[in-house]
Amino acid sequence: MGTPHCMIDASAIRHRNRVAVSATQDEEESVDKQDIIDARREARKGERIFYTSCPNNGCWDSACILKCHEKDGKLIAVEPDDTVNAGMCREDVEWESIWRGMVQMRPCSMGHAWKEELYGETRLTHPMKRIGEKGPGKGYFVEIGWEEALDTIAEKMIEIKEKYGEFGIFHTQYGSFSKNGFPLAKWWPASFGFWGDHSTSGHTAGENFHLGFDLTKSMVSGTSPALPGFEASDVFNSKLIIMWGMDPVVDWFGPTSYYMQLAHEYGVKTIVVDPRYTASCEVLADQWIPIRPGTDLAMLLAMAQVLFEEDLYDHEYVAEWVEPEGFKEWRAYCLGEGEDGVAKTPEWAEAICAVPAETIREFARLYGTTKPVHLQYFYSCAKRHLGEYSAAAAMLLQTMTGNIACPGGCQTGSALPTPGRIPTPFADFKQAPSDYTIPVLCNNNKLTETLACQKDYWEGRMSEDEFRHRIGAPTDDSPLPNIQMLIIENNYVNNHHDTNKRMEGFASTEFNWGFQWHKNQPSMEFCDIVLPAPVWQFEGMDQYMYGHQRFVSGPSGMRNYFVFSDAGCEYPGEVRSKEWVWTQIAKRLGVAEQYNPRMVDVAWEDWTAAQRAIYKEAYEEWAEDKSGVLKRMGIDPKPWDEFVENPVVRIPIDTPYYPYKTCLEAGMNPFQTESGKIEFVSSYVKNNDLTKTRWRGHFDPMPVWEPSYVEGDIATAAADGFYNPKAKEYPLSLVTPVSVYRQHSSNDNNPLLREDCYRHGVWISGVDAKARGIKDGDLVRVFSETGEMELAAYVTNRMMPGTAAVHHGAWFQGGGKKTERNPYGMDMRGAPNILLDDVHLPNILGTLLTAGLVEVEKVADGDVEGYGPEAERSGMRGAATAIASRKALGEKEAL
Amino acid sequence: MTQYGFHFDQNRCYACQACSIACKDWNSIDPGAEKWLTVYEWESGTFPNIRIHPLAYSCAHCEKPSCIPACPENAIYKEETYGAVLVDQDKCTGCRKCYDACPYGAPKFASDDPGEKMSKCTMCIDRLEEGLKPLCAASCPLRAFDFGPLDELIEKYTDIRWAEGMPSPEITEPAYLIWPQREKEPLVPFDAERAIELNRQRGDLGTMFETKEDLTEFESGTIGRSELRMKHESMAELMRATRNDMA
Repeated sequence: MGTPHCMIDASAIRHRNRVAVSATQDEEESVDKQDIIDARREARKGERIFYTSCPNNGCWDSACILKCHEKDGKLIAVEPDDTVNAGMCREDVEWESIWRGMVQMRPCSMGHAWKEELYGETRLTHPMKRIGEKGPGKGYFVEIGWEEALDTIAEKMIEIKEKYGEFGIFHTQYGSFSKNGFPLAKWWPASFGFWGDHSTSGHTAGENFHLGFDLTKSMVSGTSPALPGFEASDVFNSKLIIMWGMDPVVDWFGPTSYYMQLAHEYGVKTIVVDPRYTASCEVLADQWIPIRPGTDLAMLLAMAQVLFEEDLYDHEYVAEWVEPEGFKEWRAYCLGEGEDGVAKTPEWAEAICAVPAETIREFARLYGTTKPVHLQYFYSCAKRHLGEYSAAAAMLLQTMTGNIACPGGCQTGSALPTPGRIPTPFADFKQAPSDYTIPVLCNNNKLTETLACQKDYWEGRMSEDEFRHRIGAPTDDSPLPNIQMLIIENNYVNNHHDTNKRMEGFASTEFNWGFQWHKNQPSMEFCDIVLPAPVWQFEGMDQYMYGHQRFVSGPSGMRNYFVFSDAGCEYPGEVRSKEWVWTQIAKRLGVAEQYNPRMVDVAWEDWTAAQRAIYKEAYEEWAEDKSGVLKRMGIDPKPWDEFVENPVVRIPIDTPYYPYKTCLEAGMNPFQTESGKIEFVSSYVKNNDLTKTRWRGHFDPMPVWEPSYVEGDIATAAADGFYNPKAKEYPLSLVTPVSVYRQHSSNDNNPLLREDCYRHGVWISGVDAKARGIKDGDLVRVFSETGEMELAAYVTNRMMPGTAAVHHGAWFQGGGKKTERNPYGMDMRGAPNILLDDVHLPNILGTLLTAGLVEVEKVADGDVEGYGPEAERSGMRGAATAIASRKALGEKEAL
Repeated sequence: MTQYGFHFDQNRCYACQACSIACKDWNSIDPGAEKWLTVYEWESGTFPNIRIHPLAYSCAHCEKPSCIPACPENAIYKEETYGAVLVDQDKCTGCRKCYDACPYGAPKFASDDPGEKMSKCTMCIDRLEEGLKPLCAASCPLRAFDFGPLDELIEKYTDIRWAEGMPSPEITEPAYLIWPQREKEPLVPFDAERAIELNRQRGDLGTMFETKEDLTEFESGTIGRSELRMKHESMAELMRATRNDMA
């Protein structure tokens, strides 16, 4: 894969063109050694250093610090953070410095691989127009100029808004938390928000109903000071850490996982509960307890039963913070004194979870007799059909043991939000004020359903009530969408459950456009015009997500620093700033003076410098420190030129943030339920018909194993349940964990990652593989009711029998052979969302689903001639298939 | 000469390969088999008694390197300031005798082509000369590495140069100290036999497997990466041994 950008250096190393000299052996060697050094120095000559951070959505909340080498406008190499403790490898600084967060923010493997991402052969570097229908295998692209692209986009925006109204347009970025990322909405109303979110969506119901905590209010609208996150060093306060479905070295990269590892070394006891023996089981934990996917609630109930029966809960905490009637009711349910008369003992749970009763009982005892305990019931365990109950139960356990809001404890759920510790500069582009608020039309995780149903509704084949239920309309009189233009600024098509259904929806609109990074990104196939997207951390000076500007700090578990992401490399090809693009569109829509008044007349050649000048102005105003706040923090701001040489401001943490610290210390009650206490039986659920609320489905007021509105229990009634009768046909219970090498789906093409250091395969246990005649490395077909893929098998005894895993974020790559399940062709790269369905009802809506039932069958030996390593090379094989398929249809752009 | 070396804490590594990628990025090495810093991950045991083992190994810059005498062209030498083992590529003919001699597979080749010149870890002498540390060691997210004069490292970490599955250190005396993986002490009882019994049943849906042996006996090649292999017949084999499945 020789790419021109790195050949310069590589050749310097390999062929140093040393002039032959006659000399003794020793002299020759020292000459050779000096040549090696000189070759590297020569290669480094003319490089400029700049710093940046590379958080992407899906970066698992880390804001690492990258020291970048740039030459001739290109990224050459990335070194890790050296702005503190420089020159230390093991970074064995004194305890005080670790505790106070004075440590490096080293990037992960992805942080060192960006060069291949920026200059990879698949990078999209030109605006393109689609010829033919949307969807893989149905059309191709031709290059167009910026003027044509922008004119067409603006015309279509005006046309669609006229025809279908404001909600005929949907912008796919940041629809969560009742917001939307459409940057012109304030002055050119269009698009709409979603209620709910993706990450902690399985925990939202528990937080809202039982704790009276609403993440949207605290993290987005700022109407609540309750922040349930914790800072990394608070784990040193814990006596026991329970990682339930949590794999922090993978899913929470950065200071938190590093500190958990240190805590483990210092002797904080750690247990992982997970169907897989994860990397965190190995490096962070004393013990692994394997549990069948989706049966967690049974084990949590059994733990509660032990705590009640043996009186191991925190009476004082319960007396102060818990609503007593509901507590009694749930206690009776767990002890078998409720309506069903079944005691939820460890013996009751063991056959469900496949965890020995003795283990559950002793685990409950350890939990009940240790304090404080950080029981982190992680996101994905609850992101299943009917999964919300398990998250709620975990919160109730943390409550009854007094661990929910104290140093060393945790809320278990939204573990992220903590207050920033340093005020950061704000670059004021002086946008015009507007009191327009974007309306909320449906739930965050029902866009696929919206696209699937809207035609039937608007053409009279579906009742309004039915439509509102299916999409999670917030009220009975909220406006209804008729999406005919999707503005795709991410890989949204690929990254949610039931991708086949989602792709059909994205193909059904009149006109889509968006920004994409790679020619084989599946979302590109659903754009009528696609613009080449910059990689913001390295190219230009655009802001990041949610209006987050280039002074980057957490949320990362450590918010005692920020780094200025300076202008780095040049835009490759015809790539341009997104802010420039939006300004040009705003001009055509007549709102540029409102959207970007300071930049509206700036020429493209001057764009980055003009953006940077506004950042400089922001920094200098901040550095003036008019309020004296920086001085009080001990920050002595440097002049701009000095600052950008080493653009990190960092202060020591005094006391780490623990969940709800700000509220508790101010004497405020973070738990805004009807009773003002944590409610084991939710009065909101009890007193309202949830089917008439935005939740649009049923939910029982306390966590129970057999919800009143389904046949049977959670493990049989859930669409993805381990004991669902469907498992006769699809016997493997699939989880789709996030990965070490992608931020959501970013970097999936990166050849330094995919196929160099990892293989994207399906995890299957030894016993299940043997029964199917599968060996490690074989090419297999993974299929469910909703979709199918071909990829390599990773056969491992790290899996529980009857389970499978395909990591999240791989790109769907069809375009090859059509199949019964995949309208756009067999997936060559393994996008796990095509295996998951879109079922929420009759349960409440709101959860992003991450689990399913699948079967795996062998397709070919991994080592047959001609296949060999090919089976492990699904990445570029898939990319080549996708691009070749478009080419065959007429794409003119040569790779 | 002061012999410099590495210390690797096997308990802190999860085989994420940040070190390996940082090395390739810094040294401008293309994706592929030329992994100067090679990361292995393998498993041992059967369900539910299972461990995974990581090893991040570059070149051990051995005190008694076996590659140097093996080279017919005298292309490999021990550099005199840090004790780094280096290769003079102008002399290298790609005969791979060094590869046969090195117990750790440290000499690397970009391809299987005969005549492909050997390349290897330079201990980042370019960085050492600037007062910096080798990039692999400085980039580990979990701080598994240390680097410095070998005698100082030995004093700090004790003189262990071996971990389970590796070749004996007596052959070459590698300047690569290791804290091997610790045993795990369970916090609560876990009866594996009982767990297997429970895993066999699936309620109304029948059984998952028949006997305990179904979980413990496998034909060779069924389980992926079930041992540490530091030497490889081909680039494809090396890639298989060094690609994990964490994505």
